[in-house]
This record gives sequence, C-alpha cells and structure tokens, in this order.
Amino acid sequence: MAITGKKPSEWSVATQEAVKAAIGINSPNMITVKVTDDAKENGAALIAAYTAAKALTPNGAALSATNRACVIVPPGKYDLDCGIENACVPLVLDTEFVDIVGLTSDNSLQHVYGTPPATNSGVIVQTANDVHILNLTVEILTEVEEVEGNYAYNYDDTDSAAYWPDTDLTAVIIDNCRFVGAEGATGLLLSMRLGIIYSGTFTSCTGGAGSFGGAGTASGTFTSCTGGVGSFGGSESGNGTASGTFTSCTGGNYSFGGSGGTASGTFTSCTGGNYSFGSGDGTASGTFTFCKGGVDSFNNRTLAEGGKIYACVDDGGFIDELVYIP
Amino acid sequence: MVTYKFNGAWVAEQPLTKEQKEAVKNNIANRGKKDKDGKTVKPAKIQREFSPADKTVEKQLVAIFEKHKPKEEYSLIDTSITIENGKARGIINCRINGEHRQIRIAE
Repeated sequence: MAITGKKPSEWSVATQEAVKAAIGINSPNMITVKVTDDAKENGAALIAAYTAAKALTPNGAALSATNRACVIVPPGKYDLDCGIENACVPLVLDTEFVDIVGLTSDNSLQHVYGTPPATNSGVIVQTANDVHILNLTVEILTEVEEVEGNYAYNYDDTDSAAYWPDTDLTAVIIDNCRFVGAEGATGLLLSMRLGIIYSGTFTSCTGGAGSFGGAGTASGTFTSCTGGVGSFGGSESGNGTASGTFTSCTGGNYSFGGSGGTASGTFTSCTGGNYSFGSGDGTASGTFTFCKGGVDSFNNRTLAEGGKIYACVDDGGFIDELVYIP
Repeated sequence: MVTYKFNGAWVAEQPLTKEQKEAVKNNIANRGKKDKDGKTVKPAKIQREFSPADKTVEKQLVAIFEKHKPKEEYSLIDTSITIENGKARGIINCRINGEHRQIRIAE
C-alpha cells in the first residue's frame, strides 16, 4: 500500500480500501495501528491510522484539549519509507488534540524510522501545538553528502531530524520517547531539530547532540531527560539559552546554555559536561541546586544578576552556596 | 510564522549568516580536538542578531504579554511569542518570590 501524501479524499478507491484494511481496532476515541511482519506495511498503516484519527469525534463531540483522539501504536517496526519507490512519508502531526501513544512503556518496541529529505523534514514532523507523544523510539536514517571532507549539514533549523517540530510549541507533551540520530560526525542527521524554541513539556526523553533546544532555546519543562553535546539550549558556539525548568536531566559538554550561552532557568539535580551551565563568558543567572558540571561550568563560578548556586559540583570541587552579589 | 523574544524590546531572531554557519561547522569539526599545546580547541562564539518588531506587531505583542503576565510582582527570565496565522503561542518564564513560574500562551 503506497501513501503518496495526498488527502484521503484524493486517494483511489483501492487505496481507501487498503487503508481501511490496514487500520486495526477502532473506537470513537482511538485508532489502533494494524501491525504485520512487514515494516513498510506498518509504516503505511501508521500514516493511515493518523489520518483516520484526525476525523474522530470522541464522545460524540469535536476534538478539543479535553476531548482528545489518539493513535495507539502497538509494538512493531514502522518503516516510513513506504511511499512510491520507497520514498519516505513523514508522520506529519498537523491536527490539534490527536495524540500518538506507543502501547508499551518499553519505547524501543515501538520503533518508527525512515529517511526523510535532508532539509525541512523529519521522521515525525509536528506543526500542531497541543499534541501528546508517548512511548516511541523515533530514528532518522538519512545521511547528508560529504563535500570536501565535511558533511553538508546546514547547522541550523533547516536540517531534518528524527523529531522535527515547529518552533515554540508550548502545549506539546512528550513522555518516554527516544529520538535517535547521529552525533554530528557520521553524516547522519540529528535526533531533534536544531535552533528552535522547545517550550513544551518533556519527561523521560532521550535525544542526541544538539537536542532539546540545542543552538536554540530550551524554555519548557524538562524532567529526567538525557541529551548529548550542546543539548538543552546549549551549543559550543554560544548561541543557546536554557531558561526553562530542568530536573534530573543530563547533558553533554556545552549543554544547558553552555559555552557563551545563557543559563537563566531553574536547574535541579542536573548533570552537564565541560563548559556547561552558562560557561565560557556566558550568563549564569539561573538557580542551580544539586547540579554537577565539568571544566569551566557555571561560568567559572561567576554568576550574573539573580544567579544562585546551592550544593553543586564543578571541576574545582563542591560549591556549598554562591549567590550573585552586585 | 515569526517568533519574537523580549530583550528590553520585542525582537525577532535573524537567521545565521554564512560566516556564522561556517563558524558553527568548524566548531563541530573541532569537537574534542587539541591544539599544539595540548589544550582543547576553544570554539568560536557567534552572536545572534535580532531585528525589532514593527510597531503594529509590537502593539500586539505587548497586549498579549500584558494579558498573560503574572498578577503578582515578578522578575522576568525569558519570554517568547510566536504568531502564526494570526494566532499567538509562547511562554513566559519568570520568578515570583524566588520561585520559578511558567505561563504558557496558546490563543
């Protein structure tokens, strides 16, 4: 079954019948993806299930923040390279109040992957604001070309990623998802879109380099999340901001507004690598409690106005209490 | 769709210039590398550029912010407002009596 990106009303009768057959258990509130042993069929069924869910009227009423529809994603491999000639058909979350929920809490069992175009796309593309995504592993397999020894990334928000949302989606809630891409050194694209604002709510999620607002802004709510180098509003280039709340999160080097960026949020029990937490002549104006950084973290203990450190550790040892004094 | 931030005035972030992108590329290529003295290569810093919101948009942004801002005395940490198809969304991060508060805007 090939889904071409056309609207359902434009599908052929045969495609419509195939979509109906691909959709599993239905109710007015949810669509369950019908899973087979063919990953491409599963990918097409996932796209079809989402399309069908957009038309649901749970409880006999229109979709709303308190009357949501959901797509249940059972364990399986979902290859979104399921279009014509194996073209990738990204899962585009473009409708408010339609959620995507992996059936088991082991997110590795619900594995969604594909090779979207290298720019302005993703395996999951999100334009709707109020969407919940739970229990998924989402992986991008697209590689960019190598040109004169360098990979042809754009290094900005146009680079595709496993998870490629619009900027500043304040109402999104993502729980227990793993976004997989490269670490910027293999030609594979990144796990989460770079250079935008992440203002939603993220719990128990994992991303790679530049995830959760890398080279952008992490202004949302982050709990028990793990990122790589330059994550959580970090970047070695110093153009990130971490202004949200961060609890029990772990980043790599240059994370949490690191390396010349701004760490102005509230950080509790977080761990960064070297040059994290507003380091490198950045701005450490946040509240840091029980956090651990590496070399030059917390801007070398030079706080900006409003900055407070309680019971934190850097490469110089334990910091009992340090408060900005004008 | 345009996103505005407040840094004393309402501004929109500009895309990275070609030179800035080149700096980012070099920083990533030099990750973990040491210089001839065995020290970690310091990444080049880039300064994002902003352009002020025009007067009409600024009025709209001020009205949205005033509608959603805390009623109590607050200290602003950061705020963003994105306007898309005439609808606004965004977040206000602030502190009230030292406690972090987040106010999400979705109109």
